[in-house]
Amino acid sequence: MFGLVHLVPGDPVRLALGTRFSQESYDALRERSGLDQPLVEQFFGWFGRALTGDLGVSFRSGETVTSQIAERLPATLTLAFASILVALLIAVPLGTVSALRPRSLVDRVATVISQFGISVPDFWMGIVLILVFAGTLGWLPSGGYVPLTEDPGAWLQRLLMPALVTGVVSGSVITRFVRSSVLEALGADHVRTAQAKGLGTRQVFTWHVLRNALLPLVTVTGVQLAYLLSGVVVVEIVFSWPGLGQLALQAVQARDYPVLQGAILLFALVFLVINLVVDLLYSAIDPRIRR
Amino acid sequence: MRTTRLISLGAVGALALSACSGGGESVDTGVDGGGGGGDNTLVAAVGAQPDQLDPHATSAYPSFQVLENVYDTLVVPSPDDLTMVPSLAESWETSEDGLTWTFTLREGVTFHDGSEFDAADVVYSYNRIMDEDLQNAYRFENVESVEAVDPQTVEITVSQPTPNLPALIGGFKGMAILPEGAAEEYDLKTEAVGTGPFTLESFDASSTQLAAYEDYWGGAPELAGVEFRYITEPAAALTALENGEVQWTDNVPPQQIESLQGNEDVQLESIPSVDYWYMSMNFAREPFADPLVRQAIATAIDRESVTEAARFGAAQANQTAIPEGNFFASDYAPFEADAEAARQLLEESGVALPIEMGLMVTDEFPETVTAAQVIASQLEPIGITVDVQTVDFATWLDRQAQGDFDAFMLGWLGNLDPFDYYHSQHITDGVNNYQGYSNPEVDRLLQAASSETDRDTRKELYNEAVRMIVDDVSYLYLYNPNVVQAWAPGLTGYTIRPDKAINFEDVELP
Repeated sequence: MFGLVHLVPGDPVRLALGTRFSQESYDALRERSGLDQPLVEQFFGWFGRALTGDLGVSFRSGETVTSQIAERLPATLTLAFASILVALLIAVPLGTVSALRPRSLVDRVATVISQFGISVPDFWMGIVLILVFAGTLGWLPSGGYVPLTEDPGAWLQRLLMPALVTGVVSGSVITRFVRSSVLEALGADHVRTAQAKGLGTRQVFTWHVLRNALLPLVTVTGVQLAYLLSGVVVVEIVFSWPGLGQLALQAVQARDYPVLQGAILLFALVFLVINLVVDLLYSAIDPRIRR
Repeated sequence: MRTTRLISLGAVGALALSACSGGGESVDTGVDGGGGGGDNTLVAAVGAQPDQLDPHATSAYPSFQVLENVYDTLVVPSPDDLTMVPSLAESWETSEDGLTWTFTLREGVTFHDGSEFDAADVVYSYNRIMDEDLQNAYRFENVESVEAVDPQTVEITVSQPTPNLPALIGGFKGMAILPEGAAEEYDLKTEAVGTGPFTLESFDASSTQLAAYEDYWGGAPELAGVEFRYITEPAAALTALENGEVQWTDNVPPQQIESLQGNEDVQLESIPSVDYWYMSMNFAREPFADPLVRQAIATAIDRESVTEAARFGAAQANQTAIPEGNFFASDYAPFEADAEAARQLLEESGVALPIEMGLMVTDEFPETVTAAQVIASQLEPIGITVDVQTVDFATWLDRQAQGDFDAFMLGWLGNLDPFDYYHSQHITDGVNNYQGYSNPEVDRLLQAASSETDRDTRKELYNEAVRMIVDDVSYLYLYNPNVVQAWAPGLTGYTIRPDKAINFEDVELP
């Protein structure tokens, strides 16, 4: 990872200095950033400090990488969990209904909606929402982020549109999984047996269908959540949402290696943790896995 | 970077859509600005977060948008013609031989931390830049010493007459005066202690907040404070301006100027800037080393249509760097868009056709990508196949520095003195002479002009050099863009400036 980040062409010192500077200024900044050291030395220095939780200092801002990540973490967590909530609120009812009535009008409408969510670019959806709800109707502010602790009302107002956009995108993906896994469960032998035993539709559905359909749902929700937690760059930019995606993008553009490495490390960690949680949920849902 | 471009394209589409659906009626939103707004605080929507706030260390425009209101310099460019006028220095004079500059400092100025401003602060600030080789150290290239004669007098000694010294030390807030010892006492990357009209309140990932400095030497500002809110997406910034969340923005893409002009919710201004955009070819690569080939290209390009495509009319085509109306501007314009004449020049050169030319542009500045496409279509008929290479800015700068290009397009921004426009770009081995141009006569003229103290003679020297630079096509000049900014109708006391400095000192909210 360290190697990959440094392999990308582009010189952070030149980027920081812009177009007007002298060679002396270039050399001085290179030395101050530690970029004059051999790459191997830079790596072991970074690795050693990272083990103690010190991810270094941003070239661009001079702040520590940990403080920059910490500053943006609440906004990212807020948006990610709100989006997953929106996604599940869309996906579970929509997917289930269309699976229960395959090839019906409801199913077709659901397919069209989820196809729309997947194929419409999120920046376009975001801008249209801004123009309608902040512009024409004037119901919501056009963007920004206010911490929940500061002003819950303002927090919610600003969260609605970005959460809707990312929620619709994730929800559309999840809807298809819900539909196919419910369909599959419906056709399974044990469901037929349960029905033959004379159990009511509701009972069959809750205990025999939904529980089996939950496994793929948990997996895909976990993947979506991990993706949302690594920052949704485009939506963050459109809604001026100060999340990790923007930080990572700025770091890439400025070749701010310490921040980039810190962000990648964090994203890797997020995936690991979420995979672990998903595995634990599996065994909670499915007794067969516990053995 | 690709995403950013897609976003702005998307914005255009979406705006067009809203225009069709009968927008235009004014909208009253119950939405409050949030954050700091409301209490006589101006909220300004800017495109990006400052990278850091140390005026001596940053080179980023978003930083200077903020710092302009927090720090002062000895002299400043006047808002109307950009000549240097007093600020922290009340007056200055040059010795007979032009080697000693004496600045008399303003009295009764205090820093935001309450300390008195005097000559020691000037000496400290300038020495900090020089000793640590910070970003702007090159501006002191001719400076031998900076000394405090007494608390109100600073003497700067230069190695050769430097008529542009005031522009060098006052052109922008990168040359700000800090209190003595500030770098040791404060974390200047996130804290600020200047003498300007506003103090820094907070600096985070959403906005930078300033508060009025009551003891400002120019009189306390009318506003209680300023909030710079980062809104990258232009459609969002304009919506925020229209519904009153923000009162000022410079995030106005040129393609939207026309649609905004009739909008009652927005006061829009577009004036010529001091920037210029150009194309340059690699003198170390065949066939571009051949002056006839370069002249053929300069003849084939129709600057008017390039300008129109890149800036939607918010620019003036130019064959030299300095915009019309500036004292130092030249009216030299030898090229007339003519494909037939261009073809003849190529024939004369004897170069085998077709010529393949890589034209390096960057999506950091989307207008270069558009301009390059137009240039490519104009060079096609004369037998030059242009490969438009769009790369990110980091890669672009690397390749420029390594000389790894046939041709590139970029701009020089924030120029004040003719030295800024021409010197390091065209003098042999100049730090910005990436194209590898060398003409002994141009060198002589540029050197002479850089130390000429008589303004008229200096103009003649530069204009003579410019003719050769243009004839040799060291740079192929394209256009001077406009500064475009928009604010709430009824906002007073704000002056849009050609150097894009943004100063809210005298602003009053509607």
